[in-house]
Amino acid sequence: MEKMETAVVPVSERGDLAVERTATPGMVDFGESILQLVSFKLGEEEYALDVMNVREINRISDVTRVPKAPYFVEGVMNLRGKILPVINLRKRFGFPPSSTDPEEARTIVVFQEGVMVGLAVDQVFQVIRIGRDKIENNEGIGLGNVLDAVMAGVAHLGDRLVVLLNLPKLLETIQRDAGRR
Amino acid sequence: MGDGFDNDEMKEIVQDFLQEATEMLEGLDNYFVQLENNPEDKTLLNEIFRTAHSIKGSAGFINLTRIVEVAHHAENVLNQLRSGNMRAEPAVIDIILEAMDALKVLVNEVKTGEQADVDIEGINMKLDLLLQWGEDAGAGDGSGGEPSGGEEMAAAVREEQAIDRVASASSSDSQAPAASHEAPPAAPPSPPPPPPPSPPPSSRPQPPEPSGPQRVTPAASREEAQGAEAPGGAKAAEGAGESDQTIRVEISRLDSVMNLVGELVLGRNRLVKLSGDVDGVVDFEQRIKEVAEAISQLNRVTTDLQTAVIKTRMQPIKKVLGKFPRMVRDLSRKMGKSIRLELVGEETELDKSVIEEIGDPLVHIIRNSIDHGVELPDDRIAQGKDPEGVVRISAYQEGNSIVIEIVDDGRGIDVEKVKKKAVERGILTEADARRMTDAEAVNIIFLPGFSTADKVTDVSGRGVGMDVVRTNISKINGSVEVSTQKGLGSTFTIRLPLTIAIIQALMVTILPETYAIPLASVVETVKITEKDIKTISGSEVLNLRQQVLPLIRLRDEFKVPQEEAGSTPAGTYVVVVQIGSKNLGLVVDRLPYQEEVVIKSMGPILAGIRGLAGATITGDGKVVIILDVGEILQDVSLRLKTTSPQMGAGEAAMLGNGG
Repeated sequence: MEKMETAVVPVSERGDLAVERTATPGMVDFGESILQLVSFKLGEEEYALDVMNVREINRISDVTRVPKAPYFVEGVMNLRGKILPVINLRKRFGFPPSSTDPEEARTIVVFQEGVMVGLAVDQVFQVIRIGRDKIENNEGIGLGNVLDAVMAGVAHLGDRLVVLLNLPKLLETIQRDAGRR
Repeated sequence: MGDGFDNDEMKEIVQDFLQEATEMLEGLDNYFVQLENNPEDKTLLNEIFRTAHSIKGSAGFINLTRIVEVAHHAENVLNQLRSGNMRAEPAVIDIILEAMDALKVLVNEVKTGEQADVDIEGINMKLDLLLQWGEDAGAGDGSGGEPSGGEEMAAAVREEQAIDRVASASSSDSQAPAASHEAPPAAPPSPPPPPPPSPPPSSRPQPPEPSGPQRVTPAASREEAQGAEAPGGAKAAEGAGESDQTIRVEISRLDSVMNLVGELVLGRNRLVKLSGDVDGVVDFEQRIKEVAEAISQLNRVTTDLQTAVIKTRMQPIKKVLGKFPRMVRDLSRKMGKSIRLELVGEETELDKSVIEEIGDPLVHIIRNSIDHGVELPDDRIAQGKDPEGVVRISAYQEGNSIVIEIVDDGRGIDVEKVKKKAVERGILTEADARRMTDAEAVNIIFLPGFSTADKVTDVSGRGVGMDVVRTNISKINGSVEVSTQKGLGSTFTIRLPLTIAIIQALMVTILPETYAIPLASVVETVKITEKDIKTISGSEVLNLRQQVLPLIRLRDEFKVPQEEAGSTPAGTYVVVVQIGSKNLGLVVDRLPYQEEVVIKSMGPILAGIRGLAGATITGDGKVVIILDVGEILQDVSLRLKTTSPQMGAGEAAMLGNGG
């Protein structure tokens, strides 16, 4: 485990990346020192979520706008008969509108304590396996309030910096702000 | 408590008990009302005794000592009734019902975990005095007292209960109240009852069936009882919310769902197979026919499945009607009236959510019938009627709705008086009143702020009432009407949808978006042109058949983005919606179609948005937002109230009433 522990899983042509959670627990040392992350891009910046929080990744299609919803809510989507609220992470973090190819845009469906939410991102990049020691525990480094509050750390991958998000915190703040109307 | 069980197990047992006890107590209420009319009914007495005994047994098993205490005292009295040593006089039943009410409060205490304020000792004492009186009377004249004895005894109870509590010790027998052998031994005057030697719960064997006839431990003292109950209460409280969120379903219904799902899978496989091997197909026409067949099978199965799943949510209306015999008894006793309640069609089924909402409106209507409808016995005799009045509640299915009728044979509603009152209170103009037919006029009673009662009674007539009834029923997409015949009685007719999870919706487009409006709240739709829209002090209105209808443009309300200029000109329609007595016109572009939609929640993040009831998925897989017409109406009338106080009184009343 001296070398950087990364493995790249390409996103399939169809764009639907089914994350096989059942396959992971058999791996050596899993859960102790190795983390698996789904990394995605917002503009040129790279972010990541723990694979265990991710249900599935979908193309963004047919999002219905919800009137009077908070500004960062893109709308709702039909996820196999369930209504899935889609959060635009860019707007949530206060970033300028995307300039990347809309074909690359995806929703990452996450599930946390009974709440299922889609996170709209510019592009899903790869699945990273990384040693816990490669992650700098950095809860907030002064990047702006909204993002600071939901940062779990920064992973160093060569010269790449990947911001690891704290999903429970992220959803909690979203829900708090949504209720504040 | 609960040693030997883990927490979940205990919680489950407590949950089961709560559900069981609640149902049994409700059942007992009705049994007692029946018993009052047929005091000699042995089967009924036995049934009552059994039910009371199993409540006591179950409560004892989970150490709810306070419940056991009351149940035990009540049981002693019941035993006397059963063995014929006492008669079920109204006064006796009063005291027993009081004990039942105490039990209900105690059960509820376990449910909520909050200590309830119940005078257990007082009730136990009343029961014991009743018992003693029964024994004395029994010893005196062999069996059963003369009819007037009950009242006499009740007076005795009332007198004595303040004096001492000697009799409370008579309950200290720990034997399961078995057969009706000799009456319990006379009370040794030594309160409090000594705790009988009983094994601690921990040493009991693993779960025997809780309703079995077990030995029961009466409370040693009240303090101890409370101490023992506290943890149980706390534990139960965790699960309290859950108990309302579960439903009992007959296995046969689940089986039918299961079967249909099986067929659904078959249908899918057939389609998958048909779409799979297209290569080498020569006869395409044949293939298309096969696909069409498969689809029609799927269509049939899904429709059946939909019905079957809805059925799992259905519950008999008995759940609501069950509490009325007791209510009618108590009310008519209180008002000195004699009223018989008839229930018809108790097995009629309604969606669980409808069942939960319909209770309050029904209570209101029945109270109204008893208070204002049915006359006092003397008045009835004077009119040549049977001194006993009848209130009949019948429920039946009619097409896609359930109808509940509440009929009384009382004095009916005085239509002229209704009109007069309505004019007096400014609800109606004199001219309108004259134009109205009687059938229309009588329904004025559902308007806010209306009451015909000249005097306010304890039971009803405070001027809030019938409008609440209508509002509550509208909330579940139902309707209510009344018809009346002077001197002969009134009939309230409630119509309810079979279910509220699936509703008929009117689709409306505000280009480029589509929304769904529940059809139940839509009165009509009108095609208009822009110049039909007028303004009154800045608010847009439509003059619809000489009635001013406030309008809101959904495009502005929902900030729907404008389509680029030059696209096809949008039509203009007004969807007139009504909740209770409030009307509003929603301006939209088009009305493409109606559809049966399933209401789905949008999840906690989007749940609180005013004016949206949820979302649905249409045939083409798109998500469509469903409007909450009630909330939109409320918000709009609030807004109109605050922004245009100078509006004429007539309009303000129309727009803002009840808001």
